[in-house]
Amino acid sequence: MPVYNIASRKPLSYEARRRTADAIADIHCGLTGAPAEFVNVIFMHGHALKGGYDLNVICNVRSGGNRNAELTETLRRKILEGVAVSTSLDLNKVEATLVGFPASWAMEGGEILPEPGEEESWLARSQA
Amino acid sequence: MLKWRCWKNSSATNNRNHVSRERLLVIWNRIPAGQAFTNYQDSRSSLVTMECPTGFPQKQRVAFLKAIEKDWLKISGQHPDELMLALVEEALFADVFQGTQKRLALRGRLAFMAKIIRTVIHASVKRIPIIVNPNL
Repeated sequence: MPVYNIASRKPLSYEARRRTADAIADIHCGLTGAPAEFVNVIFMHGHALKGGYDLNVICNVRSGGNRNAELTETLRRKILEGVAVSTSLDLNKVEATLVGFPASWAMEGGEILPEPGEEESWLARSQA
Repeated sequence: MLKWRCWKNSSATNNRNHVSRERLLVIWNRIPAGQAFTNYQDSRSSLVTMECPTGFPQKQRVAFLKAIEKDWLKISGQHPDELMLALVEEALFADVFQGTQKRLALRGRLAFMAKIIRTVIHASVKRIPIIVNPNL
């Protein structure tokens, strides 16, 4: 977690997918302080999207902890802009929504995920 | 195929022991190479999302996730860092599952449903796991 699930009408090239995944990791980690090890980005194509969009991102992210509504909306907006740039699509052809998950419902590396903002001690413990 | 069957059996047992006696439906979403990334690299990770009743006790969730993790790693040979598991309450599970359909136009939803139905029928006839390629 997070898991960024990206559906597009047309296939993106490998380079564009890679660039987009890197941009998402940069934005997500830069804004939230989460480690990049947590960031998963999945692409799929051939999806006829509604509203005339060419690409849609659903972001499954941990909720709670240090994440307030403002940070969440900033994250959504930055992801939207970053993905538009990395895929060379118009901003109005890209849509992004965030879905919040309680961290305690997920496990990674054999440990229940930390609350947002408490990653440092979790990483130290899980890598010990 | 044998590994898939092994995992289906172990997950059904763990589900029965920790979560619910209801029949477990397992759908595999096989992402083609080059379409998934983790930590700035091509991903080797597996993501497992499961559903549980609302208000499911956290102690039971942890016991279930640990049991699933143990079996998954034993069967797959993956490193613990390559596995993310989530046991999600039914309302949010439905939101996530439906979210991938809600973003589709009618034509897209029909194509998606047709693909799922074809895959389920094929799996049932061939007696193989339900394995979906997410590209339509």
